[in-house]
Amino acid sequence: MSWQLYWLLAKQSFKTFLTYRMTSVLVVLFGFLFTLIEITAGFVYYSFTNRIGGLSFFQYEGLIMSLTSITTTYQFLFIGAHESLAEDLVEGNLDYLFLRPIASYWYYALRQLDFPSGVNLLVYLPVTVWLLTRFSLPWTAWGLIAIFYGIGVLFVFALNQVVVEISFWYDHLTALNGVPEDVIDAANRPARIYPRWLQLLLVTVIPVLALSNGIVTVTINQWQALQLLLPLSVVTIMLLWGSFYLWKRGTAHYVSAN
Amino acid sequence: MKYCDNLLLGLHNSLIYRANFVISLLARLLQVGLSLLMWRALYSESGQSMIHGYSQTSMMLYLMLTGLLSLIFTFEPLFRLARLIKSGKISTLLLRPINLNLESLSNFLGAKLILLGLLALLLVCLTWGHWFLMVLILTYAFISVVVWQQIMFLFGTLAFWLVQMWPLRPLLTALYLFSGGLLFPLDVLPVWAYQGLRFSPLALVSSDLVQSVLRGVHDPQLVLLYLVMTFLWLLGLAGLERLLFQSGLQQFEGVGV
Repeated sequence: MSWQLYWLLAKQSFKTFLTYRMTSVLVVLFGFLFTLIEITAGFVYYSFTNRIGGLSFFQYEGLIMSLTSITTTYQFLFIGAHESLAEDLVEGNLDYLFLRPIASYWYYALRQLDFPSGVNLLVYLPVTVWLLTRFSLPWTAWGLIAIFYGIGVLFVFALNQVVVEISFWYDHLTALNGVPEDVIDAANRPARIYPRWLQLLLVTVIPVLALSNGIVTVTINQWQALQLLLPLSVVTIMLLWGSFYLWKRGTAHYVSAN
Repeated sequence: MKYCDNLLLGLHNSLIYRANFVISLLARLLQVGLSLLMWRALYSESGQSMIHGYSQTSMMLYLMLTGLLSLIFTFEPLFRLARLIKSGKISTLLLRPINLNLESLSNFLGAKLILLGLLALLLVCLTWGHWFLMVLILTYAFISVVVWQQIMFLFGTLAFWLVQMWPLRPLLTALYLFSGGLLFPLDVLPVWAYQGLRFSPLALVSSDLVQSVLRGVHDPQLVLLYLVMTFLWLLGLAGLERLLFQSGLQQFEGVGV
C-alpha cells in the first residue's frame, strides 16, 4: 500500500471524526475516564505501602501509562479494522476489498484511523515521558524505550489480528475478540507480584508481562529490560507471520455472502 | 408467557454457544486472580496483618465473592441492544406487542440462569440458619441483577446517538472494577470517596451486596438500607431508560445508524 493511498485513508478517517462530533467527543472522554480510574487505583494501592512488586509509586504509574500509550497507539492505528472484520465477513463486505489491486492484508488493517484515540494519545504520551523523566535515564535507555514502544504496538496488533482472523472459520464467537484485551489487562501490574511459573509463562509464551513491564524495567536495569525485549520481539514476529498465514488461508476459505 | 419463552431462548443460546461462555468465564477469573495477587503483594510488602479492618483472609473472601458476582454482571444486554439499533433490526421488534426492556431482561436472565441458580445456592449456604436475612439477601441479589440489566440497557440506548460503541467496553469495565469494588472494598477509600460511591448503582449491586452477605448477620439494618436503595435506583433507572429510549426512537430512521 502506497503512502499516497494511506494519506487519503487518513484524511477520510479524519473527516469521519469531524462528522460524528458527538461520538468523537464522548470517545475521547471515555478514554480519559478509563485511564483516570487506573491511575486512581494506583494512588489507593500506594496509600498502604511504598513499594509493590519492587516498584515505587512513580514506576507503577509509569507502567500503567506506558502500557496505556501502547494500547492507545494500537487503537489509533488499527482498531477500526479489527472491530469490523467479523461483521464484514458475515455480510460479504470483503468482496469490495478483493476487487482492488492492492495487498488486502495491509489495506484492511490500515484503512481506518481512530482519531479519538489519537487525541487521547496526545495526552498519554507526554504524561508517560514526564513520568519517565523522573528517572535520570541515559540516551541508550530512551532508545530501548522507543523500541519497546514500537514492538509493543506491533505485538498488540498481531495478537488482535490473529484472534479476529478466527472469524473466517467461526462466527458468533464474540467473546474471543475480547480475549487479547483481557489478557493484556491481566498483565497490567508489576511482574513480581505474579507467581514464578506465571511470570515465566507471561514473559516467554504470551509475553504480555514483557509488554506491560518492559518500559518501566528500563528505569531499573537495562539488561533486565533486554531480557524482556527478546521474547516480546520473537513472539511478535511469530504472531505477525501467523496472522499473514491465517489471512491467506482465511481469504481462500472466504465465500461471499452477497 | 412470551417473556418466559424468551427466557428459555436465552438459556438455549447460552448452552449452544458454550465457547463464548467458557471464554467469558476465564476472562473474569483472570481479573479476580489479578486482584488476589495484588492484595497478596500488598499484605506482604506493607508488613501489616490488617488493612482497614480486613485480615488477608477476609479480603480474599471479599474479592472472591465480588469476582463470582462479576461472572453474572456482563455487558451482553448493552451490546445486544446496540447491535439491534445499529443494524436496524430493532424495527422488527418494535412492531411486536412486547416491551423491549422486559424482552432484554428475560433474555439476560435466561442466559445467566445456571449462574443465577448457583449464586442463589451459595447465598443460601452462606446465610443458612438466618432465615429472615436469607430472604432479604436473596431479594437483594435478584433486584441487583435486574438493576444491572437496567444499567446496561440504558447504556445500550446510547447506540441511537453514538456511531462506535466499543469505547464503552473499557470504560464500563474500569468503572465496574472501581465502583463495584472488584479491585478493593470501597471502605478502604478516603471517607468522602467511600460515602460518595457506596450508594451508586454499581456499588450497590456488587460491593454492597457482598458486604451485606459478610456483615448481614451482625447488621441486618445495613442489608435493609442497601435493599431499599437498590430498589429506588431500579425505579429511577427504569424511568430514565424510558425517557432516553423514546428520545432515541424519535431520531431513529429504521435502517440502522
